[in-house]
Amino acid sequence: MIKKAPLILIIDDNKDFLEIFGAKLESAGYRIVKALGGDDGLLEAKKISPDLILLDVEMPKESGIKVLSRINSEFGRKSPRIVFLTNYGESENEHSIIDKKFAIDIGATDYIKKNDDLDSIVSQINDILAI
Amino acid sequence: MNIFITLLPFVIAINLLFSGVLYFHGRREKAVTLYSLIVFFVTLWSLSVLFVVAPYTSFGIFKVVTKLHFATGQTAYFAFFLFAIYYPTRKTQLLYTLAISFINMVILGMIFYPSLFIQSFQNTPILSERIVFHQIVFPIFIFWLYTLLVLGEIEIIRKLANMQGTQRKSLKYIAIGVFIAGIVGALFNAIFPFFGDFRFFALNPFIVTVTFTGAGIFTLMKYKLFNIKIITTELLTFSIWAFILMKLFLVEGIENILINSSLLAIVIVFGIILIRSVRLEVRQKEQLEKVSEDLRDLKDNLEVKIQEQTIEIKRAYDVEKKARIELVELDKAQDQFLLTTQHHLRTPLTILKGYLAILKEKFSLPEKALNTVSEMQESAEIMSQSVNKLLQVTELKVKNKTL
Repeated sequence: MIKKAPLILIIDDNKDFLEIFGAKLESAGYRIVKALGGDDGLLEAKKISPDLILLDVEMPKESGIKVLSRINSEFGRKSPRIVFLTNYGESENEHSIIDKKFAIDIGATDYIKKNDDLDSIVSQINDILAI
Repeated sequence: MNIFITLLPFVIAINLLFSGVLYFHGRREKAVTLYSLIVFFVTLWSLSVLFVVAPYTSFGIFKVVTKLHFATGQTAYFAFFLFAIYYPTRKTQLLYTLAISFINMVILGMIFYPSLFIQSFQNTPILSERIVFHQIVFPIFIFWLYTLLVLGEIEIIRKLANMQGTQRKSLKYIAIGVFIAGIVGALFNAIFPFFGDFRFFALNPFIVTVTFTGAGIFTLMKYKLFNIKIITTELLTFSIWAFILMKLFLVEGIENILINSSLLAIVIVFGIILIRSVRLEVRQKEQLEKVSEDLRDLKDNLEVKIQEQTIEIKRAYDVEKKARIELVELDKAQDQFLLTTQHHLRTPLTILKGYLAILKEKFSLPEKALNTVSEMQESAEIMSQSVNKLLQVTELKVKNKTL
């Protein structure tokens, strides 16, 4: 039996990012579900139980951090792995909201910088899912 | 009664000396001269008491002496009124003063020449003079004395309200002294004798001297209206002169006269030297006091000035501090703006780059189009790197500032 490709849920308030990451990860062989915003993301997560959730941190209606805590409380111990997508993280000052330690502290697996090279993002996701 | 008559010359001498001292020290101030005039008329009045109580054979002379007694008393009251007007500074009450002076003159005239007023009433002068004097002139005279006293006191009370410190206290004592002396003076030496009671006649100069002259001397000593050291020296010197002079008239024999006159000459010379040296000393002391007072003023002023300047500096510092804080805030806001702007630049660039990558991978583009997309990707990459560098620099700057 051929193992099913991992299912990834992308939650972002920006359609463009959903489109780009979706296309890239699909071509990398993953199954993709896209959700526009936190509410939609939570619904989808409950429906499909993804292997990994890519969650945008900066969303105008509800921040990624809030969505993360909602997902965690919904799934409990069976919660899927969540990786933050962030615009920041170039350096460790007050403007970089997320770093790896912070992400793990609040219950995420890791964080990925949105402006990284797309291929490098794919390889990061590969690494995370390989564990 | 007799003992008071015997002591009267001393009372007269004390008043005379005091008036003289006041006159010579108050030359610069009109009010002090006026006060010395009051004392001088009190002296004359005391002297007239001595004349009145002397035994007379002629009624005519007694009458003149009595009138002089009244006139000196009245003038003393009038001098007090003028003093009240002029002390310490004169207000412009010229018309009022002139009116009072005129009435005073008329009443003086009435005392000396009642016949002038009588003849206009009746044709029998001798009989009427007594009646007119007793029933018209005398009541008017008494009324006038108390009027002058009350007017003067009112004037002084009005001035007391605007005064402060030593001047106020000294004037208060003078006002009280004059009031008692004024009431008693007219009562014992005019009203009582009018009804035939002469018991207090010779005693009165004592009472007046104690209350009025005493008030002056007390004020002088307590509040240093004039310098007591000079006055004591002068009083002592003048007394010695007067004593030796009197002795000179009393002694007999050419030898005694020679001794006494040479003694007088020596005492006069030394007295003058003494007075002058004391004056010099006192003047120097006064100057020193003035200088020290000026210094104290200067010191106080300096402290106030320093305080004012401290406040000024503090205010300026506060303004500067506030401006600096505002500037820092502004700088921060500017940095914040740069940061957000750069982030906002980065997001569309990332999207652009992402779509370009998808375009290249997902669609099998012809060779030429692929090259074009690659060119676009390169430019987007260069732009992305520039933005990243800029962001790093700004972030570093903000970090430094925060540190």
